Amino acid sequence: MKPYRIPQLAKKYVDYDMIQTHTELPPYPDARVHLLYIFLNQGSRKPSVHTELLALVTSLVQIGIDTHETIDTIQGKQNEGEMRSRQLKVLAGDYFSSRFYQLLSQKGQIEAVSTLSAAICDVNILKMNLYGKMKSLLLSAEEYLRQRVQLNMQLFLSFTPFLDDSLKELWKSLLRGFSECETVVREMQLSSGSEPFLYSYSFWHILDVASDEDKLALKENRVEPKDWKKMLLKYKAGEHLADKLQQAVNSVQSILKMVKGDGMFREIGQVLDPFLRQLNTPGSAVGEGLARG
Amino acid sequence: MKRLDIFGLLKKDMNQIEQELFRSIEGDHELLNETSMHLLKAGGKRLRPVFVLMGGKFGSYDLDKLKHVAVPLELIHMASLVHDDVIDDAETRRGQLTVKSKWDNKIAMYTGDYIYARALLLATKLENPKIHQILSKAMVEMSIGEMEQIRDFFNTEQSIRRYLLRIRRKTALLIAISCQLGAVAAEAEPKVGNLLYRYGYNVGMAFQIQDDLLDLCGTEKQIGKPPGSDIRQGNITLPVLYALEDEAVREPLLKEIAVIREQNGECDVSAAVSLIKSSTGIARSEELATRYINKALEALDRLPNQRTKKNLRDIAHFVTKRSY
Repeated sequence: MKPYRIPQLAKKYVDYDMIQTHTELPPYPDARVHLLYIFLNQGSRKPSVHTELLALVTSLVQIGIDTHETIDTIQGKQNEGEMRSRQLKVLAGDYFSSRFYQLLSQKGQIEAVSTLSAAICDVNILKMNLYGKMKSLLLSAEEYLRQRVQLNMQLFLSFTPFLDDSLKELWKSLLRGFSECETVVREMQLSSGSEPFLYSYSFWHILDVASDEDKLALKENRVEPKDWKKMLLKYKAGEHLADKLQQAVNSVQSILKMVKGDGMFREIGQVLDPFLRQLNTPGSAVGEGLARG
Repeated sequence: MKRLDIFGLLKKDMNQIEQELFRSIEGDHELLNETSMHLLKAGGKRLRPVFVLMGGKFGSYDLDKLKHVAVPLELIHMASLVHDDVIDDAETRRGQLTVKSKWDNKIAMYTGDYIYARALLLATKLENPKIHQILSKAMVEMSIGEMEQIRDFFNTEQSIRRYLLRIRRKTALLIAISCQLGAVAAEAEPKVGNLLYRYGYNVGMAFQIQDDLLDLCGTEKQIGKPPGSDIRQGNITLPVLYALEDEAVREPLLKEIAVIREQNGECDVSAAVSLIKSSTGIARSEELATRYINKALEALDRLPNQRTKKNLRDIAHFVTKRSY
């Protein structure tokens, strides 16, 4: 198996100067892409499957979808910088999507275009559903997180039929675990903003547990940045997310015990390492927390 | 806007394509159906499907095959319009509210992405990799063209050549490949496909120049949006570039453009529009559009003789005379 180098391959497309100059892209979905790469290498049903290509294009589609997710809904006048940022977000997402289609077409991988296109349709249906609930404030924090995880898994799940039957359950369990890890880490970043952010776990968590007065203030969009910081502390949003990450990491660790083959175990362990570091766990993944019982 | 209906020959097949367009984006999600069909229902010229079917006439014409190219091309065009309205912060298109305006930016993004994916899903019913290679390459170029357009916003020193490269990517390529892909899907000779590409490319260039002229000279009723929208957002089009070469208006026009930029387009652009209209920019742009049409007709002359050539000739003439 070639060493994992998909983020470097994606860089060529992600680094388009207009995008880099005018806007900020969401994080690269490294854990899910790496996991897909490992599984396609280990257990693809088709011997000629283009492992690197599939992992690369899936990462481009995901980052395109995630970039479009960051488009704001602010009405009214924006300054030139804000306007360019929004415009380039739209175009960057479209550009990544066109590259996914082109890269697969060049190699004649039309079936993969179809697979990923169907998954993109599903993702957008899920997004519409989630957005509808968010707008009507009909969501609990748990439901919000569950749906976000599902959204983050959806593209990758479409590759399940490409895998050997013996690996499918393990793939799905690990994909869920790593999607939880990546989703929670992203939520931690989103929650650290200075204002209440509708598209974050913390917002929904506080709406679940806060006093009636705080809930009303949030619902009516009357929370000042300084009060938001206080709310995050008062309702322990950060601690909740850290617990969620710990749970997700524990879940991956326990699934990992079922992995057959030291090579695969080590590879997946490497995918988990950044999350263990995030939790300040001493030592590396394979060294301690992941040691086989 | 109304649909092009000057092609009696294709009327029946275009009606089928129209039905297929609606069928292809219909799903189980009520809101997504509504938002996806919003723009479709507003009509449009359906120029791309028309070109696909006409291209198909030069080979083994099979509507069942051709619709798998014609419908995705129109859907890709539509998806890009839904996203363009977020980019341009546009309130209206084709005389009605845009998706982003009727709903919001998020819904417009999801809708555009959904339509785009449905288009690809339908296109993959055709297994010929060449079709996908041509289509995907054009889509990459289109995206780059849009980003380059933003790079050139308010750039009054850009060359005519740079403008032409931009509209090639932005508009002409999709029309060129519409003609070509019809021929490829109908298994016509490669030479025929190439000539159709050349025809479509030149018609596409003329079409965009005409579009840029209409943005300045058309009425709101004709073009479905307020005149001067391009310059308002900093899009320096061919008539403006030519006007800037006209010593009689250059300096006052530069001043007007600087004001528009300073105010982020939130101002009256009628003075700038009047200056451009009073310059040689309009006539010179029309002249260039005509030159492109002549090149398209030259390519057409080299195609095998058949009835469709007359229709293609009619479209070429229509492009420069259209007022919508």
